[in-house]
Amino acid sequence: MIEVLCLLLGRLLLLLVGGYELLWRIRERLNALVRWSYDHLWRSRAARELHERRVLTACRSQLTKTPQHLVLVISPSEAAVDAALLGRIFGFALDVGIQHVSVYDKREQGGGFVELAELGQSTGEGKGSCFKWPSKPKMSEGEPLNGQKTNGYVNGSHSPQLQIYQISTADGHALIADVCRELYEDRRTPMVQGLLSQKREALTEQINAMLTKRLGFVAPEPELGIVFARQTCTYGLLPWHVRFTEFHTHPSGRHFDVEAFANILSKYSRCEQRWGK
Amino acid sequence: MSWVSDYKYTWAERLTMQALRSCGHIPHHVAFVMDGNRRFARSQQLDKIEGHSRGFAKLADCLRWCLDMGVREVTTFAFSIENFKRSSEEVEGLFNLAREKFARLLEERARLDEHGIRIRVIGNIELLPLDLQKLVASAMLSTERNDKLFLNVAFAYTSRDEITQAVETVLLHASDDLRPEDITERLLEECLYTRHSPPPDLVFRTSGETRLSDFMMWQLSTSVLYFSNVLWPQITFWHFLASILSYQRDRWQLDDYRRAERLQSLRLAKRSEFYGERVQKFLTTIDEDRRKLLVRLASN
Repeated sequence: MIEVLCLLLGRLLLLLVGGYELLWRIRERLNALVRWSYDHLWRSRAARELHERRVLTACRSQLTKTPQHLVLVISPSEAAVDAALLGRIFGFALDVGIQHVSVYDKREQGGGFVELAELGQSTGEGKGSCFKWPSKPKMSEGEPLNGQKTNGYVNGSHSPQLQIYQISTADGHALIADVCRELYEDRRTPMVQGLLSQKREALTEQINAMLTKRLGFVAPEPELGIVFARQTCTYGLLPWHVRFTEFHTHPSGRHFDVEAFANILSKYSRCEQRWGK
Repeated sequence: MSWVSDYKYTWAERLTMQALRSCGHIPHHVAFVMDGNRRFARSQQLDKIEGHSRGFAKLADCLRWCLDMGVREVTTFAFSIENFKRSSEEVEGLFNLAREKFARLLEERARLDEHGIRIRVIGNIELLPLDLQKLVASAMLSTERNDKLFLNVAFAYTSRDEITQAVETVLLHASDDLRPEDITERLLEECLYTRHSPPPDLVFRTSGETRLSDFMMWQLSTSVLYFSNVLWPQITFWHFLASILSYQRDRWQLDDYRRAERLQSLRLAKRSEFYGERVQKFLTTIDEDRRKLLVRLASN
């Protein structure tokens, strides 16, 4: 009798949770539709950009710390993150002073996967996974109006560019295995023998250096990660590098705009990193 | 049993637990990051070590909940290598707490055997004081035949150190029989401290922090991560149930991804002759050497 009651109660609980989830998703999608419509159909692009700049300026003035490296994790079933949204996020990141953005897109080609090569300008580093964004530097506000030739310089300076990186599955566990294999092949060399005779930290440093070389770009470890998924999961993202990354999940279906970005940055700014102490 | 409390459930708690057990999938392996002991101590005007002691008491409750819920494996992050940066007073206090708890565990060996609980301490235990190494090794050896429930205590642990240890193991233990092409992520995974454990289904971190702090970074690529604002010593059974419910809700979203990862892992194993004699002989050697180390530490 108790078992039957528990079974019924369990089913009811799951039904309630399922029902709540369904209502939540409908609400989020309607909200996303309304906000998207306002942004793209009602408000002009110039007005939207002005609003975004205001929000980011206000956000930046309140931040006590800004991440240098942001990583975006896109789950295999995520449908809303496309090239346009990534472009906007890159713009937000540039405006608040973030210097590096990595994109770890777990979707298949043809299933929404975004090639950063289409968004950014290749730097030639990192086996073709490093880019600068925007491709062509924006003209700064001090651009002379009299048509004077500037050779790409305005008042002596270029507009800043963001470093963006395309992270793949092969950059995770497999890359660490590659490093191990390389060390194994050189196991009899004085270098490796020397590492094995020292404290383990020496080997850790060597592995770190080799991973950086194989990744092909030099960037600090990501301090902040935004996971675009229904639930929080790393999906195998850079197990060596994201040990201290603050993860924030942006649930699938929810509209992502400048306010969402600013909110995540504010939360990051408020979190206390104790580094084990 | 000091490590597993005699928690008294209310009728509502018992009913809800039975309900979740009967119609939802229970995670096989749950990992806990027990964060918030010191903040709890500060809020209650207690000593830091008292905060950690309350944290251990809460761990005992949590292990009871896991046992009764049907969770078969629990991993807890007790002490990070990074925590050596804390004051010597606090570090020594934590070690004293560990000494007390492991000594008590050895006294309760019979009850552990009765419940089939196996204790494994994962981490660089050679960084610990010698007497603690002995206690830890003794606890592991005395429960090594138990196979119903597994408690993994991450002590003197970071994921980076663990991965480095795995690479070091390959470099030190591999004979000339092991070929470079045998070294894949599949092999490296078997060289981690968690060699005989499946990856965690659910990782539960308390205190509101949303980072992993170098905990099981390799293993949790398919885990549901659950972050709660509650401080560890203040966690209740309802918080635990909420995490289980959250897992039950979220796991089906990850099922396709997990299936694909398992398939990929199987293909890699087949391609790299992981199940061949060379690799299996190497892994057997690792198991033997690790046991020998424990025997040596236990007899110090």
